[in-house]
Amino acid sequence: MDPFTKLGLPRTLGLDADSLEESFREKSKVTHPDAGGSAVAFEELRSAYELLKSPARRIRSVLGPEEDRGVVPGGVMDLFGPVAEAIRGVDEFLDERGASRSALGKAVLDSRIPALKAELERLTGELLRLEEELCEQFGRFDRQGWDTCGSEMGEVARGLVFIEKWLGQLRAATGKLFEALLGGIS
Amino acid sequence: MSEVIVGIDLGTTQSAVGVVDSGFPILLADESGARLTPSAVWYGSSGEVEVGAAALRRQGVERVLTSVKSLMGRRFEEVSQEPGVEPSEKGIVLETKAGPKMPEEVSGEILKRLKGIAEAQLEVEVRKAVITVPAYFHDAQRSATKRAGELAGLEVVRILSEPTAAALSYGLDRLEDSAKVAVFDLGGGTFDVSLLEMRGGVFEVLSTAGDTALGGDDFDLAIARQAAGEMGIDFEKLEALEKVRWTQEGRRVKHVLSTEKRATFRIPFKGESELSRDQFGRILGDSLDRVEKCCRRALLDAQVELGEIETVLMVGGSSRIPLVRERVEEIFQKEPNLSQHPDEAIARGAAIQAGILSGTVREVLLLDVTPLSLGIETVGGLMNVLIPRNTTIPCKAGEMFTNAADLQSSMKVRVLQGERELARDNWDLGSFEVPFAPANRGQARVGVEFRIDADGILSVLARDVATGEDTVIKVGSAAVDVTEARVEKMVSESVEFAFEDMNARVFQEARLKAEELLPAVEVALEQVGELLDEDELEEVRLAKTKVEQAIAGGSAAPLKAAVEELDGATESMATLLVEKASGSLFSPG
Repeated sequence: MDPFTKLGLPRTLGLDADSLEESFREKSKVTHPDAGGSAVAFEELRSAYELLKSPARRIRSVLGPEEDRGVVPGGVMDLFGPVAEAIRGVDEFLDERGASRSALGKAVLDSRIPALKAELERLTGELLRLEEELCEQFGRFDRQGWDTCGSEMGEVARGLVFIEKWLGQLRAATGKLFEALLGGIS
Repeated sequence: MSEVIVGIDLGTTQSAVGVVDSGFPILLADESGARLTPSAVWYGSSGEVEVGAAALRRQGVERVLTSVKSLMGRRFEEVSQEPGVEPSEKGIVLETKAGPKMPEEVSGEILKRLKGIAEAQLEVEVRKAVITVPAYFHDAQRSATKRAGELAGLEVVRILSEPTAAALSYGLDRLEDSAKVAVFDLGGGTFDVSLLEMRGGVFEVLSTAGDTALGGDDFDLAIARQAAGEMGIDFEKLEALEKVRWTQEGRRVKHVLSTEKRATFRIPFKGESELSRDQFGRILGDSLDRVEKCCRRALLDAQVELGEIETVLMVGGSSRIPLVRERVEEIFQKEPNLSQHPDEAIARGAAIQAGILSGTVREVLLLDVTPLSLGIETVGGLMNVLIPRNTTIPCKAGEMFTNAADLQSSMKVRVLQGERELARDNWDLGSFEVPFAPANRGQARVGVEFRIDADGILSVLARDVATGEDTVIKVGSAAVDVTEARVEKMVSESVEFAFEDMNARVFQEARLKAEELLPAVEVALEQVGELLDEDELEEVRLAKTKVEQAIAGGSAAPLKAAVEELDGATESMATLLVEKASGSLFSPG
């Protein structure tokens, strides 16, 4: 069964997050093993929900696998360099800090943290803005029909896949900064 | 009527049992009226067993087993420092007068006692239970808890996470509300933080983080150590039973400091030492930093902004400590909610989950998550994540394995839990063999399915692609060679001393540290120098000159001493710099 039907939602890309969550909760109340359902039924619901939650996976699920290669939206590719740079910056900082032998040495290095953090935040903001911009086209794809917008949808999908991946990496880098500053990793 | 299911909070320092009565969770009291049973067990030489307050009364005179929870599902290598813990073929065991006992056997005695309390109160036989564990317990710790229940004659129908239980207790009479809630649970031996969304009767855990070796017990010990130091006594050299007495006094002082500004640590005939709340704050510093780290990660994982959190619920005995409350308020920028009884909320929540499972509580559903990423080791010793942390459970993930050589008969797969990139830094759940039918390279394929059930416990199934047949795979824990483990313990104890003798090494280490410190001092003086007074500046300059001279001198001991002095003299500058940096890291926006 396709993920939309599993959640009892119309097959539209432009679904809003609140009604998706709402459907998941309501369907959980009958499919979860504790509520008279089964582990198998709940797993199907959960994976369908996880898929639809991500705009990138949602749009890819309605496209064929052949759409994986091709043009990527310009705005997305422009961020590739800065994102890679910021993540490498955090890794290098953490390596240097890890090799540091004294409290003062670490503390001096820590003066770089505000700039690193600001850059991670700036890029996260940029990516979220771009993601929103790309998702705004979902409504139009639904209206015009998925068959007629195939190549455009492919481009948006590829952009969203990159954005999602980078957002995850930026989040992980932010997490590592916090952990370094708050003491050893357990 | 459906069969009764009890809810049990099997805590590090105390435990409790409850049940839902007319839709409301209640805790069951023992014959003396106590609802909390100390998690203490004493074994006599002829096999007699005492549990709870009775066992605790023997403490300080005889060996009483306490805080056994911290040993559940652990490996000898991890807990070899604990007194009286020995390796054995079946895992770690504790020495007692009645012979060696596994941690789950000891916990089983506590559960038996709670089962007895429940049966006396309810006047029916109790066979089923929901038992809580720290949210951050991994597979082996959860499985050990389940075995403890079985040893007590209980069918464990659910292993429930403690902060989730607390959320149930808090949310049961707020089912119409829609809110995001943070649960902060700092108990005697473990710490968890969970973010939940409550809406329409569904309690959905968004993320959880924690530390299974952090709790009030550590604070007691730290106070005892500090007091011993001030009295000029080497705490580490005290007898095991002495240590227990000192730690108990540490606990008393900790309790006093929750209401008073100062307290006196006193051991008859040994001495006394005064402790202020500020000093206690410094003792707590590291622990609170670890707590904060977990909170930040839970927030990042849930992708929840501070402003969205409506309630910060605090439970666990250590939520009574004012300094802990202050830090929680600082992290979440919200006054914590203390409406739930810190020691009873988890047992109440367990009772509610028991009610859900037995059908007496309706309209409530709990969706919990797996706290740790599950993965397998890949080429190069890396961890390949199959199920990321904070995935809603029950859940599953599949992986296809192919033979890498002609006629390869099987392949070894190592299963891991944890968040580190390198396989060896994660918890090793054990290994299994994937069997291949005889075939050329790349031709034999076996699909393996990893399932995490609603208890957070893993099972593995292999499916032969050709026959479509499923087989349950047993994940065997890496066998521990008992003698090897003992040798390891001895080696690790002796190795530190061996290095002390190596003069050249000491000099080299100190020189490297000096080379880092000297330029750092310059930078630090530039950035925060104006915040120091003249005496402090003079101290730093003097220490710096000494280091420079000691490097030129070329001998190890003076250089080491000089570097240590400079390290100390620059401590306040380091703190100022860190404050500057962390201020900007943790400030919103």
